[in-house]
Amino acid sequence: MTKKQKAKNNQITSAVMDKINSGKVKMRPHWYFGLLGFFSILITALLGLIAVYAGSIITLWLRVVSADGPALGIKNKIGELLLSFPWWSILLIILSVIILISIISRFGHLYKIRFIYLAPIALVLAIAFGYIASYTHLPNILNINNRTYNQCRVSDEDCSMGNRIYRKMRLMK
Amino acid sequence: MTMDDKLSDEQAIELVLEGDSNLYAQIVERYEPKLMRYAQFILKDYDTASDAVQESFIKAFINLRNFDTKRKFSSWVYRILHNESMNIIKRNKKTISLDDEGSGGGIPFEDFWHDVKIDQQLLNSKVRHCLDKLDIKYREVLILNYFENLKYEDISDILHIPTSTVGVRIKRGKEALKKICLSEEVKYD
Repeated sequence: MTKKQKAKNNQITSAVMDKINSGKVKMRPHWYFGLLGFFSILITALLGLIAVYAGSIITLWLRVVSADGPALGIKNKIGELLLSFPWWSILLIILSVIILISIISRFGHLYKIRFIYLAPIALVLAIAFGYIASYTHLPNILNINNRTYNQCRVSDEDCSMGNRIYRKMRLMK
Repeated sequence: MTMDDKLSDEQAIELVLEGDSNLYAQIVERYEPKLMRYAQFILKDYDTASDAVQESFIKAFINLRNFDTKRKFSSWVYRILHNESMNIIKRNKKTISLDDEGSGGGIPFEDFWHDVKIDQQLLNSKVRHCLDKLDIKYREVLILNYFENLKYEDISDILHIPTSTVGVRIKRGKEALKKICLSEEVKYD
């Protein structure tokens, strides 16, 4: 180590310690990290819910288009079906999953798993949970006025977003 | 050797957390040469590296209560420096070229090597010149593995990438380094 380097290194130590001892630099309190952890969990839960919700929209769409009999005419209406497919929900899932993975990777040990494996697993999980959610009427759960699809089929007013989408899908069909 | 020298990093950190802030100076002294070496390889400039290291130690102190003493302090502090260096690189969008011999009054290259066992070819300063031309994502893993003698697991914790990716990057980095060296007409076996 050269003299210049030694001197510079001592400068770093003294500069750091000067800031600490003078009180310019202080440790963040425990509650700060507690709060940060709480919000991380909250955002993770919210994004997870969004991903599942978007997944439920897709399965809901599949259920709507395949309902009422042996799906006669579906082959003829394939173009129409593709147009009416809620592509935005796929984008929503992908976006939520990417943000979700990056948040968990930042705070946890998810970075140990390769993204190329992690992303499809998360995507499949979101759609699978969405599928389950579509049978448990997740869109209705999100209806703040607790109105069912039947209750708000006449008007869009007071309907949840899920119910409105479901209603539009029904009308399209 | 003082009493404090016998303490592990994690034990020393616990004491700092209990209120003995002055013990942090010892942590800084312990890691300063290693972090400086790493930062210089990444940032290619002594003064910028020095600032990055200083800022990293300050950030480490500020966030010390978030450090899990069951884990390695070295990986944690390297991670902070890695983030700091990446921020500087992004901010500047360019690093100071090593072609500029006098850049920032750099430390003589030979100073880095006397305490580490690394591949003989990498001891050659011309190979280091090639290393500086390597993509940062490969350069970083090669530096941590060969110059800092860190295990794949530790590199994985520092760079937040899977252990398998560390292996892949080292392999690809070596291949890329060989190509650069060949194009620069530096002998590389």
